[in-house]
Amino acid sequence: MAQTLPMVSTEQRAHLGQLRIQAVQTRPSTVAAQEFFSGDRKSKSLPRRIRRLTHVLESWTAENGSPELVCSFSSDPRESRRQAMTAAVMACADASFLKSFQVLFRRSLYQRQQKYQQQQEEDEEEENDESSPDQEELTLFQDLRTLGWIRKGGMLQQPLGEALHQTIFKYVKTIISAEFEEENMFERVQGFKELALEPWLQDLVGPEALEQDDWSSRLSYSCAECFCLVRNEEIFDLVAEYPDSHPAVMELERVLDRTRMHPALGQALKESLIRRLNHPGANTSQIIDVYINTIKVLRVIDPSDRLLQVVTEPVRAYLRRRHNTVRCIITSLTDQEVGGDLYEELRRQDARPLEHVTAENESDDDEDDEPPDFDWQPPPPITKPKGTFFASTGVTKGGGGDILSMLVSIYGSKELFVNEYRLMLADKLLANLDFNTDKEVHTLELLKLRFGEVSMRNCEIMVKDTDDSKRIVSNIQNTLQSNDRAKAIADLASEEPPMRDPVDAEIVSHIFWPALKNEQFKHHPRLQADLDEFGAEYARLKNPRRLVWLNQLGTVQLELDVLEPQPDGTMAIETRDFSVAPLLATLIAHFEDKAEWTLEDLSNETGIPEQQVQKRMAYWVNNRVIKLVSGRDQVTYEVATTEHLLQIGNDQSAAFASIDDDDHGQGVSLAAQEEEDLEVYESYICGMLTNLGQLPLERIHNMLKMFVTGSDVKYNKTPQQLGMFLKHLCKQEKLECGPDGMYKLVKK
Amino acid sequence: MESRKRQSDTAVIVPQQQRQQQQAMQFSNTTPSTRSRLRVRIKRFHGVAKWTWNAGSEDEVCGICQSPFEGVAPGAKYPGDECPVVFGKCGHAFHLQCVATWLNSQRTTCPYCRQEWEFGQSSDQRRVSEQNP
Ligand SMILES: [Zn+2]
Ligand SMILES: [Zn+2]
Repeated sequence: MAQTLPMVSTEQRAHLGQLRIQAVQTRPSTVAAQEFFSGDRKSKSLPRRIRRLTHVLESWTAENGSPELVCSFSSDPRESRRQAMTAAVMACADASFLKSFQVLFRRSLYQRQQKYQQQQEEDEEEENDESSPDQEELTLFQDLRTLGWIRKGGMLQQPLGEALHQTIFKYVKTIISAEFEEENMFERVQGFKELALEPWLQDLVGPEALEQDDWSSRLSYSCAECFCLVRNEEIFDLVAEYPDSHPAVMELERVLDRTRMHPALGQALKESLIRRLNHPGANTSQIIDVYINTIKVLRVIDPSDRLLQVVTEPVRAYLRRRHNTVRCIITSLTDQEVGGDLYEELRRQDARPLEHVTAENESDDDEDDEPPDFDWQPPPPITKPKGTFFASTGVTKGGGGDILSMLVSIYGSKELFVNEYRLMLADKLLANLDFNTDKEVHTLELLKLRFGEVSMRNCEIMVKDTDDSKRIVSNIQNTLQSNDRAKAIADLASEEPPMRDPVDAEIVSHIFWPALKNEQFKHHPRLQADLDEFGAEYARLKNPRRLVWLNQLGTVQLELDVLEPQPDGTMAIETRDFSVAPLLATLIAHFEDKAEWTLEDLSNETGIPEQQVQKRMAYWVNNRVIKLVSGRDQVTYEVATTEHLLQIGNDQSAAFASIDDDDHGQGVSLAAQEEEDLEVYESYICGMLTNLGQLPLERIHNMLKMFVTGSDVKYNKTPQQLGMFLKHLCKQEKLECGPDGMYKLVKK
Repeated sequence: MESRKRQSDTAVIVPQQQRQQQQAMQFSNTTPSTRSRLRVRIKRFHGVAKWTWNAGSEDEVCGICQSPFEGVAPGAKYPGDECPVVFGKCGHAFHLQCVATWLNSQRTTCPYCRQEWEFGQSSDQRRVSEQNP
C-alpha cells in the first residue's frame, strides 16, 4: 500500500497508521470481542455471550461500522464482517477458549446420547414422543452458524471433532467392551450414529452442511476408528477367549477393513503378549494356548500372515528359550484332557505332512535376530486383493502352514519334537501295566501323517515291542504253569503246587528306545529266582535270544503282612498293599528273612552304596512298615509293630505312599539322554575354546550351528540345552564359566 | 493303598508251623518290636528287560551292514524275529539277510575270516538245544 502512495511523508504515514488503529479499536467486532471476554464472562454463560456476539454481527451495518477496512476479508460484506468478528475474537482468546466449546459440545452430545438410550429402552412403547430439542440449544447452534464457526474450516471444527470422537469412543466402549460373543455390534454403533449423532449434527450445522460436508461418512469412519481403538485396548482378552470371541473377531475384521488400522492392532497385541506372557510366572502351556489363539485370530484378521509373523515373534523367541516347550506341545498333541486345541489339530482331516519346516534362524547368523517391525506401509486399498491386508510377499519365515507346523517351526526341527515324543512314549509304555497300546497306536498313526513315517520308525518299534511283550509273556506264563502242573502230577503230590510269583515283562528292542537307566544291583534271591525262571523260558522260546533285566525299571505289586503275636495267643495281622520299584521290593523282601537289618548289611546284600539304600529305605520307614531302631551305633532297621503301623491314620501314610522314590515311574532319564546326545559336540566346543580363548553361550551356540552341519553329526539343540551341557562340563571340571558368562577351558 | 485289619482268631489263617513259632515267642519275653515279623507276597512283578542276540559283546555290530545285531539289516522292517542273526561254523555272526545277500553274490566264504561259510550255532545255542532234545 505504501508503494501506491509514494508522495506520502513519513509523518503522514504515521498519522494514517494511527487512524487505522483507532478504526480497528472502535470497530464493532473489536468492541464485541472485548465485551465477549470481559470481566462478567463468568456470570454470563457461553451461549448467552455467543448470543450477544451474534446480535452485534447481525446489527452491524455499513452505517454503524467502517466497511472500507473490513472488506479486505472478502468481497461479500457479510462474510467480511463475520471474518472480522472471528479474527477479533481469536485475537482476544486464550488457550481454554476452544476447549470450552469442546466441553459444551460434549455436554450437549451426552444429553442426546441419554435421550437416545432412553428411547432405545422404551422402543416400542411410544414413538411419538418427538422430544423437542432444547430451544436454547437450537438458538446457540443457529448463532454459531451465523458466526460461521462450525462450518467446514471454521474455528470450532477441531473442538467439534474432538467432542464427537470422545463421545463416540465412550459410547462404543460401553456397548462393545468385553462383549465378545454378540454379533452385529458395529450395527448398534451405526444406529447410534444415525439416530443420535446425525440429528444432533443436523441441528448444529444445518441440513445442507450436513450433506455437503459429508458428515455421514466422516462419522462412520470415526465410529469404525473408535471401534478398533476399543478392541485394541482389550485385544489380549479377545485372543485369550477365542474361539468364544469368534463373533467379535469376525466383526473386527470387517471394521478393520474400513480403517486400515492393522498396524496399530498388531502393535497393541504384540505389546500385550509380551507383557502378559513373557515372564516366568506364566506357564508354558498357557503361553502355547494363547499363541495358538493368536494364530487363529490373526488368520481371520489378516490371511496373509504378515501381521502374525510380526506380532508373535517375541512370543516365539520366548518359547524357544523355555525348556519344557516341546514337552508341553507334545503333551497337548497326544493327551485329550490337557490337549484341547492341539489335540484337535493333530486329528484334523486335512492334515498335511510337515515338510517345509525349516529352522527359522538358520539363515541369519548374526547374534540378535533382527526383529521385524512395523515399518512397512499397507498397500493402497485399491490394489488390495480381497481378504488380505498385506501384499503377499511369498513364503514368510514362520508363516504359512497350519498351527502344528507353526509350533514346530519355533525350533525349526521336527526331529526335536519326534525325539521328545519318543521320550514321553518310553515313559508311557514302561508305566503301562496292561500292555494295551490302542491309544498309542492311534496317536502314532496321526503323528506319522504329520512327521513322516521314517521319523516315527523308532516309536513304531517301541509300540510293537509292547504288543510283542504281551504275547510272549502270556506264552511264557502258560508254559510255566503247565510245567508246574506236570511236575505236581509226576511227584504225585496231593497238595497244590506252591503259588509262583507272577512275573511279566516289557521286553524292549533297546536300539530303538531312548537311553534307559541301567545301573544294576543284586536282587533278593527269591526275586532273582523268579526273574531267572522267566528269562530261561524266554531263551528257550526265542533261542538264541536272551533277556537282560533292567533292574531299575519296572513295577512290583506287593502285599505286606505285619504279623504280631498277641498275649492272648492270637495273631494280629496288618496288611498293606504297595506298588513299588524293583529295588524297593528287594529291600523289603530281605525283612521277611530277618526282622532286623543294619544299613551296612543291606548295602552288602544289594551291592548299592549305603547312602542310596538309606534314601530308598526312607520309603518303607515313611510308610511305617519299617522303623529305625534307636540307640544303635549303626543305622538299623526293623519290622514295625502293628501298633506303630497303625499310628497316625492311614491318610497320613497314604500321603507318604505317593512320594515313592523320586525316579521311579520316570523310566527314561531325560538328562542322561540329553547328555548322551550332546557329548558329540564336546570336541567341537573344546576346539573352539582352544582357538578362541573364551566365548559366551550364544557364540558357542551360533558357531556350533554354523560348523556342525555334517550328515552324521548335525547341531540341532536349543541354547537352553547347550547351556545345561556346558554347566555339566563345568561340573566335570573340563570347562569353567566366569562371572561374565564367558566359558573357557580349565587349565591343567 | 488299601488297608485291612485282620484280627485273626487263630489257626484258620496261620499255618501250623507258624503257630508253634508264635507260641514259642510268647514265652520268650523280648521287647514287643522284635516279636513282629513280615510276610511278603508278590502279587505281580512287572519287569523291564532288553533282549540281545547273545552274539558277542554289546557294541559288536554285524560285519556286513555295520549295524548292531539288535538293530535291523538293510531292507528289514522290524528287529528281532524279522531280522534274525545267524552264526557260521566259524563262530561269526551276521544278520541272516546280510549273509544271504553276501552268499547270493557268488561268494562262499565268511566275510570276516574267509573260511568256507557253513551255517552253525552259537555255543550258547548248542548248550540250550542239548538241554531240550
Ligand atoms: Zn547286517
Ligand atoms: Zn568267520
